[in-house]
Amino acid sequence: MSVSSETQPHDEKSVLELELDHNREAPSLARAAIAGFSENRDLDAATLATLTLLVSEVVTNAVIHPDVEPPGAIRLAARIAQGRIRVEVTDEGSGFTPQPRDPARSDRGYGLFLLEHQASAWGVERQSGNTVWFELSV
Amino acid sequence: MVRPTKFEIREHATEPALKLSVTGELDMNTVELLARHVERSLADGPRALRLDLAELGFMDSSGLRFLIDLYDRSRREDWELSIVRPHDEAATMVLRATGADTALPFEPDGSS
Repeated sequence: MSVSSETQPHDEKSVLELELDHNREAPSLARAAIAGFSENRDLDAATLATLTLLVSEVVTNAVIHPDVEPPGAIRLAARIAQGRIRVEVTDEGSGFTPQPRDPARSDRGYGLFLLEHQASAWGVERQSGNTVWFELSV
Repeated sequence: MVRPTKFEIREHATEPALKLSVTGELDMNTVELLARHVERSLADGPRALRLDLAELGFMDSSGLRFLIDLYDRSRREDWELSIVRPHDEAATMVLRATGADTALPFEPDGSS
Protein backbone atom coordinates (compact mmCIF):
# COMPACT_ATOMS: atom_id res chain seq x y z
CA MET A 1 0.00 0.00 0.00
CA SER A 2 1.46 3.32 -0.97
CA VAL A 3 0.55 6.35 1.03
CA SER A 4 2.23 9.66 0.61
CA SER A 5 1.52 12.96 2.21
CA GLU A 6 2.98 16.31 1.48
CA THR A 7 2.41 19.88 2.42
CA GLN A 8 2.88 22.82 0.18
CA PRO A 9 6.07 24.72 0.96
CA HIS A 10 4.54 28.14 0.27
CA ASP A 11 1.81 27.70 2.84
CA GLU A 12 2.86 25.27 5.47
CA LYS A 13 0.32 22.67 6.53
CA SER A 14 -2.68 24.43 5.00
CA VAL A 15 -2.87 21.80 2.28
CA LEU A 16 -3.07 18.03 2.54
CA GLU A 17 -2.54 15.78 -0.44
CA LEU A 18 -2.69 12.04 -0.12
CA GLU A 19 -2.89 9.13 -2.51
CA LEU A 20 -4.65 6.00 -1.31
CA ASP A 21 -4.73 2.56 -2.83
CA HIS A 22 -8.18 1.52 -3.94
CA ASN A 23 -9.14 -0.88 -1.18
CA ARG A 24 -11.20 -1.18 1.97
CA GLU A 25 -8.52 0.39 4.15
CA ALA A 26 -8.79 3.67 2.24
CA PRO A 27 -11.54 5.26 4.39
CA SER A 28 -9.61 4.53 7.59
CA LEU A 29 -6.38 5.97 6.18
CA ALA A 30 -8.23 9.04 4.91
CA ARG A 31 -9.76 9.63 8.34
CA ALA A 32 -6.36 9.33 10.01
CA ALA A 33 -4.88 11.82 7.55
CA ILE A 34 -7.71 14.30 8.07
CA ALA A 35 -7.37 13.94 11.85
CA GLY A 36 -3.69 14.82 11.56
CA PHE A 37 -4.43 17.71 9.22
CA SER A 38 -7.07 19.06 11.62
CA GLU A 39 -4.86 19.04 14.68
CA ASN A 40 -4.22 22.38 16.37
CA ARG A 41 -6.78 24.21 14.27
CA ASP A 42 -9.27 24.84 17.06
CA LEU A 43 -12.03 22.83 15.39
CA ASP A 44 -14.83 22.04 17.81
CA ALA A 45 -15.76 18.42 18.42
CA ALA A 46 -18.92 18.56 16.30
CA THR A 47 -17.13 20.07 13.30
CA LEU A 48 -14.33 17.54 13.59
CA ALA A 49 -16.86 14.70 13.82
CA THR A 50 -18.71 15.96 10.74
CA LEU A 51 -15.48 16.40 8.81
CA THR A 52 -14.30 12.89 9.69
CA LEU A 53 -17.67 11.36 8.84
CA LEU A 54 -17.97 13.06 5.46
CA VAL A 55 -14.41 12.13 4.49
CA SER A 56 -15.18 8.53 5.38
CA GLU A 57 -18.43 8.58 3.38
CA VAL A 58 -16.94 10.08 0.24
CA VAL A 59 -13.89 7.80 0.24
CA THR A 60 -16.13 4.79 0.92
CA ASN A 61 -18.23 5.72 -2.09
CA ALA A 62 -15.10 5.97 -4.21
CA VAL A 63 -14.08 2.46 -3.10
CA ILE A 64 -17.53 0.92 -3.66
CA HIS A 65 -18.39 2.73 -6.87
CA PRO A 66 -15.23 3.39 -8.85
CA ASP A 67 -15.85 5.71 -11.77
CA VAL A 68 -13.05 4.16 -13.75
CA GLU A 69 -12.22 0.57 -14.58
CA PRO A 70 -9.88 -0.75 -13.49
CA PRO A 71 -10.00 1.47 -10.42
CA GLY A 72 -6.86 3.51 -9.85
CA ALA A 73 -5.69 5.34 -6.77
CA ILE A 74 -7.99 7.57 -4.74
CA ARG A 75 -6.64 11.05 -4.20
CA LEU A 76 -7.60 12.97 -1.08
CA ALA A 77 -6.93 16.68 -0.94
CA ALA A 78 -7.87 19.13 1.78
CA ARG A 79 -7.18 22.76 2.33
CA ILE A 80 -8.22 25.25 4.91
CA ALA A 81 -8.56 28.97 4.35
CA GLN A 82 -10.80 31.85 5.34
CA GLY A 83 -12.88 29.91 7.80
CA ARG A 84 -13.60 27.04 5.45
CA ILE A 85 -12.16 23.62 4.94
CA ARG A 86 -12.50 22.09 1.50
CA VAL A 87 -12.03 18.39 0.85
CA GLU A 88 -11.74 16.77 -2.57
CA VAL A 89 -11.79 13.04 -3.25
CA THR A 90 -10.81 12.01 -6.76
CA ASP A 91 -10.98 8.65 -8.48
CA GLU A 92 -7.86 8.51 -10.59
CA GLY A 93 -8.24 6.96 -13.98
CA SER A 94 -5.69 4.61 -15.46
CA GLY A 95 -5.77 6.04 -18.94
CA PHE A 96 -9.44 5.34 -19.45
CA THR A 97 -12.09 7.98 -19.89
CA PRO A 98 -13.92 8.46 -16.62
CA GLN A 99 -17.68 8.15 -16.65
CA PRO A 100 -19.68 10.74 -14.76
CA ARG A 101 -21.28 9.53 -11.60
CA ASP A 102 -24.91 8.72 -12.05
CA PRO A 103 -26.82 10.98 -9.66
CA ALA A 104 -29.78 8.61 -9.76
CA ARG A 105 -27.74 5.70 -8.45
CA SER A 106 -29.75 5.03 -5.34
CA ASP A 107 -27.39 2.60 -3.63
CA ARG A 108 -25.09 5.46 -2.66
CA GLY A 109 -27.73 6.10 -0.02
CA TYR A 110 -26.60 7.61 3.23
CA GLY A 111 -23.32 9.04 1.98
CA LEU A 112 -25.15 11.36 -0.36
CA PHE A 113 -27.77 12.16 2.25
CA LEU A 114 -25.08 13.11 4.75
CA LEU A 115 -23.25 15.30 2.25
CA GLU A 116 -26.49 17.04 1.39
CA HIS A 117 -27.38 17.70 5.02
CA GLN A 118 -24.04 18.17 6.77
CA ALA A 119 -21.77 19.96 4.29
CA SER A 120 -21.91 23.72 3.75
CA ALA A 121 -21.57 23.00 0.05
CA TRP A 122 -20.68 19.99 -2.07
CA GLY A 123 -20.51 18.94 -5.67
CA VAL A 124 -19.11 16.62 -8.29
CA GLU A 125 -16.58 17.65 -10.91
CA ARG A 126 -15.18 15.75 -13.83
CA GLN A 127 -11.57 16.56 -14.53
CA SER A 128 -8.75 14.04 -14.84
CA GLY A 129 -10.94 11.69 -12.86
CA ASN A 130 -14.15 12.31 -11.03
CA THR A 131 -13.94 14.53 -7.99
CA VAL A 132 -16.47 14.75 -5.18
CA TRP A 133 -15.80 17.84 -3.09
CA PHE A 134 -17.37 19.37 -0.03
CA GLU A 135 -16.81 22.35 2.21
CA LEU A 136 -17.43 22.95 5.89
CA SER A 137 -17.35 26.19 7.82
CA VAL A 138 -14.79 25.92 10.58
CA MET B 1 1.31 5.84 8.66
CA VAL B 2 -0.10 2.65 7.19
CA ARG B 3 -1.90 0.85 9.96
CA PRO B 4 -4.83 -1.49 10.28
CA THR B 5 -8.12 0.01 11.38
CA LYS B 6 -8.41 -0.16 15.15
CA PHE B 7 -11.17 -2.60 15.95
CA GLU B 8 -12.03 -5.18 18.57
CA ILE B 9 -15.07 -7.32 19.39
CA ARG B 10 -15.38 -8.91 22.81
CA GLU B 11 -18.03 -11.50 23.50
CA HIS B 12 -19.64 -11.84 26.90
CA ALA B 13 -21.64 -14.99 27.45
CA THR B 14 -24.29 -13.34 29.52
CA GLU B 15 -27.85 -14.57 29.98
CA PRO B 16 -30.37 -14.21 28.57
CA ALA B 17 -28.83 -11.96 25.97
CA LEU B 18 -25.48 -12.47 24.33
CA LYS B 19 -23.45 -9.31 24.70
CA LEU B 20 -20.93 -8.07 22.15
CA SER B 21 -18.75 -5.10 23.05
CA VAL B 22 -17.32 -3.30 20.07
CA THR B 23 -14.41 -0.86 20.31
CA GLY B 24 -12.51 1.04 17.66
CA GLU B 25 -13.76 2.30 14.33
CA LEU B 26 -16.74 0.82 12.51
CA ASP B 27 -16.49 1.39 8.76
CA MET B 28 -16.73 -0.55 5.48
CA ASN B 29 -13.69 -2.57 6.45
CA THR B 30 -14.42 -3.50 10.06
CA VAL B 31 -18.18 -3.88 9.64
CA GLU B 32 -17.49 -7.14 7.83
CA LEU B 33 -15.74 -8.50 10.93
CA LEU B 34 -18.70 -7.54 13.08
CA ALA B 35 -21.18 -9.00 10.59
CA ARG B 36 -19.31 -12.31 10.56
CA HIS B 37 -19.12 -12.40 14.35
CA VAL B 38 -22.83 -11.68 14.71
CA GLU B 39 -23.61 -14.29 12.07
CA ARG B 40 -21.70 -16.95 14.02
CA SER B 41 -23.41 -15.89 17.24
CA LEU B 42 -26.84 -16.26 15.69
CA ALA B 43 -26.04 -19.48 13.85
CA ASP B 44 -27.38 -21.69 16.64
CA GLY B 45 -30.73 -20.00 16.52
CA PRO B 46 -31.98 -16.53 17.24
CA ARG B 47 -31.42 -15.20 20.72
CA ALA B 48 -31.41 -11.80 22.30
CA LEU B 49 -28.37 -9.76 21.38
CA ARG B 50 -26.99 -6.78 23.20
CA LEU B 51 -24.57 -4.71 21.16
CA ASP B 52 -22.45 -2.48 23.36
CA LEU B 53 -21.13 0.43 21.31
CA ALA B 54 -20.33 2.64 24.32
CA GLU B 55 -16.62 2.70 23.57
CA LEU B 56 -16.91 2.89 19.80
CA GLY B 57 -14.63 5.65 18.53
CA PHE B 58 -16.08 6.16 15.07
CA MET B 59 -18.93 4.98 12.90
CA ASP B 60 -20.02 5.90 9.40
CA SER B 61 -22.98 4.85 7.29
CA SER B 62 -21.45 1.43 6.63
CA GLY B 63 -21.92 0.75 10.35
CA LEU B 64 -25.33 2.40 10.38
CA ARG B 65 -26.55 0.26 7.50
CA PHE B 66 -25.43 -2.86 9.36
CA LEU B 67 -27.33 -1.80 12.49
CA ILE B 68 -30.49 -1.10 10.49
CA ASP B 69 -30.27 -4.45 8.70
CA LEU B 70 -29.65 -6.25 11.99
CA TYR B 71 -32.64 -4.54 13.61
CA ASP B 72 -34.83 -5.51 10.64
CA ARG B 73 -33.61 -9.07 10.96
CA SER B 74 -34.30 -9.21 14.71
CA ARG B 75 -37.90 -8.16 14.12
CA ARG B 76 -38.30 -10.60 11.24
CA GLU B 77 -36.89 -13.49 13.30
CA ASP B 78 -38.51 -12.33 16.51
CA TRP B 79 -35.55 -11.92 18.81
CA GLU B 80 -34.58 -8.85 20.77
CA LEU B 81 -31.79 -6.51 19.75
CA SER B 82 -30.65 -3.78 22.09
CA ILE B 83 -27.84 -1.33 21.46
CA VAL B 84 -25.81 0.63 23.99
CA ARG B 85 -25.30 4.09 22.56
CA PRO B 86 -21.76 5.24 21.73
CA HIS B 87 -20.39 8.18 23.70
CA ASP B 88 -17.91 9.57 21.21
CA GLU B 89 -19.18 12.35 18.98
CA ALA B 90 -17.39 10.79 15.99
CA ALA B 91 -19.55 7.69 16.46
CA THR B 92 -22.88 9.39 17.27
CA MET B 93 -22.77 11.96 14.46
CA VAL B 94 -24.02 9.55 11.79
CA LEU B 95 -26.86 8.45 14.08
CA ARG B 96 -28.04 11.96 14.84
CA ALA B 97 -27.62 13.21 11.29
CA THR B 98 -29.85 10.46 9.89
CA GLY B 99 -32.40 10.26 12.71
CA ALA B 100 -31.29 6.72 13.49
CA ASP B 101 -30.67 7.75 17.10
CA THR B 102 -34.42 7.56 17.67
CA ALA B 103 -35.25 4.78 15.20
CA LEU B 104 -32.89 2.05 16.42
CA PRO B 105 -33.42 0.10 19.69
CA PHE B 106 -30.99 2.04 21.87
CA GLU B 107 -31.07 1.40 25.57
CA PRO B 108 -31.97 4.40 27.71
CA ASP B 109 -28.89 6.32 28.83
CA GLY B 110 -27.48 5.09 32.09
CA SER B 111 -28.80 1.54 31.84
CA SER B 112 -25.87 -0.81 31.81
